[in-house]
Amino acid sequence: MKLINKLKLKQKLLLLGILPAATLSIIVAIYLTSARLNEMYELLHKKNQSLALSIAESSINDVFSGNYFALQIRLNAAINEPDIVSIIITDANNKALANASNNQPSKGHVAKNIIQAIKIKRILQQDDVDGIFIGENVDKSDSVIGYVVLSISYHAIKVRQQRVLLNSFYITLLLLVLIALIAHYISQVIGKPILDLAKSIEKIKQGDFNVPASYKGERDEISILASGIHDMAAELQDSRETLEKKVSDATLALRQQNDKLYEAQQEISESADIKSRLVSHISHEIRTPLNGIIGFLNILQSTHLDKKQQHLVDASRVSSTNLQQIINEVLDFSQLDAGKIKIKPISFNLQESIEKVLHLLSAQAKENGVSLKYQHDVNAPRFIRQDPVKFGQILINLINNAIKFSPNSVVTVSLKINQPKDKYLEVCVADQGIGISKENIKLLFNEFIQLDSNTTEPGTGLGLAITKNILDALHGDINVSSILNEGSVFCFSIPFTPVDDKDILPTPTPNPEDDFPDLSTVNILVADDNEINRLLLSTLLENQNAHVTLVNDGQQALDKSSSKPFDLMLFDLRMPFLKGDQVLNKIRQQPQNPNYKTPAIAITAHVSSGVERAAHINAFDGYLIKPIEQTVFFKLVAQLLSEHNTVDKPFYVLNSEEDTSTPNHDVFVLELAKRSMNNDLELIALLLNKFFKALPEQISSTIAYINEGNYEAAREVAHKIHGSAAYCGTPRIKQAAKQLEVDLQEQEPTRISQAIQTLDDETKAFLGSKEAILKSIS
Amino acid sequence: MNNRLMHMVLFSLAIIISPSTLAANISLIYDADSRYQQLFIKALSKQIINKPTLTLTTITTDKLSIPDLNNSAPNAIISLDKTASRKLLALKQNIPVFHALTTLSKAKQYASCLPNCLTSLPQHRFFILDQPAKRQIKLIQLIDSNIKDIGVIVTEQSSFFIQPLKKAIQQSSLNLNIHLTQASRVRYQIDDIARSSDIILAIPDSRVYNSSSLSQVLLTSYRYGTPVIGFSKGFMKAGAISGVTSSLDQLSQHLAESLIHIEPLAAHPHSFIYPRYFSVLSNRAVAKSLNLNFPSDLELASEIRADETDQ
Repeated sequence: MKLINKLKLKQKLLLLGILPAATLSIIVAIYLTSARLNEMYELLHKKNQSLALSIAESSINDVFSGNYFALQIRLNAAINEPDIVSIIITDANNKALANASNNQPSKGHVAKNIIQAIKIKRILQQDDVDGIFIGENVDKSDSVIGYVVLSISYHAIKVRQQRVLLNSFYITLLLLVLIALIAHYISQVIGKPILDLAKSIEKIKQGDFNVPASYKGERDEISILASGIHDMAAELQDSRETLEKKVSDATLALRQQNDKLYEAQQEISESADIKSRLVSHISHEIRTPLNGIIGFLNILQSTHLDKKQQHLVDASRVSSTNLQQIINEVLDFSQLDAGKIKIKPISFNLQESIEKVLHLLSAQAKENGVSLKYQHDVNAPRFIRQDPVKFGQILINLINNAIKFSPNSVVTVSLKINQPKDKYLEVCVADQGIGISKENIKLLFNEFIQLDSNTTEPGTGLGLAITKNILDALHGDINVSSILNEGSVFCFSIPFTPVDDKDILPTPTPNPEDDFPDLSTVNILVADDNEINRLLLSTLLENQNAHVTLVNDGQQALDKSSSKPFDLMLFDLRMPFLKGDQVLNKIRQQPQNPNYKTPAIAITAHVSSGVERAAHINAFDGYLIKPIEQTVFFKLVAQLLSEHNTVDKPFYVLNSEEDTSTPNHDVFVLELAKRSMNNDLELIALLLNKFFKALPEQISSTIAYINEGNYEAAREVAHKIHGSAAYCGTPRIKQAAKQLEVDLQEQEPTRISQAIQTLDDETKAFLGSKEAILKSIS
Repeated sequence: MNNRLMHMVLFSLAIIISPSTLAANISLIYDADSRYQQLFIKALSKQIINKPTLTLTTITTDKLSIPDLNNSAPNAIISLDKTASRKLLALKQNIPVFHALTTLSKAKQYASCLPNCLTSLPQHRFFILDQPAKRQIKLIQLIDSNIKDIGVIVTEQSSFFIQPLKKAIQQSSLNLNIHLTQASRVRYQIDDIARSSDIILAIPDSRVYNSSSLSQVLLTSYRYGTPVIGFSKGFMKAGAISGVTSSLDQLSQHLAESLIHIEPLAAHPHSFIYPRYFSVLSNRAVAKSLNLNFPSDLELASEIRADETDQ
């Protein structure tokens, strides 16, 4: 059945036409031939049986009387019959009385013997007394007096049989051919129109609707079907043309719309770029004077002032700080809006991070009479992997709002972990403030929206918009529920990755009690075209007893640096004549320059992108972003002054060819180590041994992090290597580690690859000199 | 010899005395399944119907009881059945017993003393169907006076015919071409006899002439143009040109006369008695085909009777 289904219609019709007729023909032919052959055999047997009977009857008298001669004559006459091989007449005891045989080879072998008994016919009794004479009960066996044995051959009949078979075969073959022709004709008559229909349907499927309207003259079912398909194809063609026209029109309209949209998008993009550049530029322009204002206010605050003056300075400082926050928000939003926000996930202590924010805002809360409460989820992991800065920023924004809009009440911050389900953490900030109407909730996250016009608190109206943008970047979400005059609850959730405590690398805790360094023996060159900045920096440094040399532009900075050695150089990046990085590059290209090896700090208000920093700041040993935080500033100053190897080459050399002229191939400099560790050789040996032991593992983990793309973690390890190398007097490793740290920060894969290779090479060289180094100490 | 004579005397006395003093009581034993025996009884009854002194009691063979038979005290016994005859022959009866409707060769099967049993079975007489040899020879002579050689086939069972035949032709120019053979070889002798004889005289011997062989005997003999003298109506019908036969009526008449007239046993000097009455039957068509012309059957019978009377 499956085989038949695989056949095409024409073949099926052909098969259905031929198969029954052919089968019937063959069966009939076989039956007739078989019947004819059986008849032939039957006839042969009957004929010879009759012959045997005839011989038997005619021989009764001769057998009875023993006239063998007469028997022989009779047999000789009968033997000429075809098919007869031999005839034998025997008596009742099978003794041959006469025989005749035909030994012609054409007659073949004996196939069958026909035996006919020779019986004496009884005479019916005519009289009742006859029985007395001739006996009434004669033994039956007495009637058989002999036998005629006729041996026949099938040779002749087989020849005839072959002839019959051949004739039957020819007739059957002829019949089959006839049937095939009829079946072919039938399949043509029925199958061809259906196949034509199938072709027409196939053409329609392929989109060709020019289907011939065949069999128009006929009115059978197939013709009706063909006509129907033709009409349907025509309708389909009309429909398709109509549809194509509509689609074409719609496509044209859509293309025009797209063109307009593209143009609009281009305009928006350009506007956004302009806006971004504008905001960036303005932020720089505003921050620079603001930096000066805040700096001077700080300085002024530390001077002796009367109570009124003190109050005015405080008010000025608060206003400046608020202004700085507004500017920062605008700048943040500008960056978020331009899609420049970058998420930097690292491992951090979740509870500590929340509590820090609460601590940071505690003063503000106290001022507003707000009591801050925190409900921690005991199931929360200690450490999670997320961007702590962004997390803190969200928290600050929400808690800050809560404090602002619910004075003299309680603000509750609660943490809830939904770890088992989908590893989301949820933080809710609930206040008891004025509440938000449902209509306003919808507007809540739009930029520049400040719902409460009565509030006296300053703001840009960007806080919640920024929060929403950051949450979007973190793949998080925020929900607000509020009842007017009762309070609001802001709940945000963000995904996180739990981190095992043992995987957390111990981070050096900053010493809060760090004092600013004594710079009484330090000569510092400060170059800034902004007078306020120059004044601020000089004031800060001179307060720490530093000897500060001030210059107004890049050219003066280069000239001054060429004439006098300094311990530290601070260059603003944007200066007339020569920019800060250009000045430094020139110094670094002049080994004879007295400040060739002097560490340099870049001071900039540009924070727009890493690419920009890479282009301008990388030549420096460190950089500071305006407004300058005093703590950060002095920490960096102290670090560079203590770490920097003034004996060796500078930290960063622009031209590597020139760098080779500087002879510094030592993997270990004992003097540097002594300087770092107060000449304590025992301590040096102890730390060196630890460094030898830890370094290979640190290099391996750095490479692993880089391969994983986890540049932040790699940078942290590189930073540690850098610190250890600085203490242990290994300037080449320290330099290579610093270079890697910078490259990792910039996330430049090519440079990262080169840097890690350099660090690995330096490490191998250092480890190879282990014995010599330890021996030199001992 | 003395015993034989004594028996004859006693038997004769019994026959003679009984009818004059007492009515004759005849017991007839027959086979109830035999049609011709019933016909014979019927014919015999007709013959004695006007003779009240004769009482015919019929007994079927299967009900034959010798004690009952003795108790009935018949004056004579007629046996038509060979089984009954065998039983009666085994008894030493003092009454006369007549065995009828048999041939000499058949009777010899249960009475081996035949043809002469006067000594051993003095009360027994056999009314045979065989025609006397003289009667047969006379017929042949009447049919064709040119016939010389008479062919006869006998077996051991019918060999006793040879002597009467030889006696019958003593005073004629005829020759007997007698072939004594075994029963199994009979049919092979037919051809020889037919070739070597002018006529074949068939002797009632079922080993030679039976219902199966009869037609072949005739065909064989006629192949050589040799006519056959038969011995029964059926034989003549089959192709024998002529023959002397006695019908049941003739036979019953003969037996009845013997009973009615109380013929003394002495009237029958032989143990067997040839039929007294006879007819001649001829197959004219066959005779014609053999170019034989002879007088009518009645004439022939008359001639034969006349000849027998003369003698």
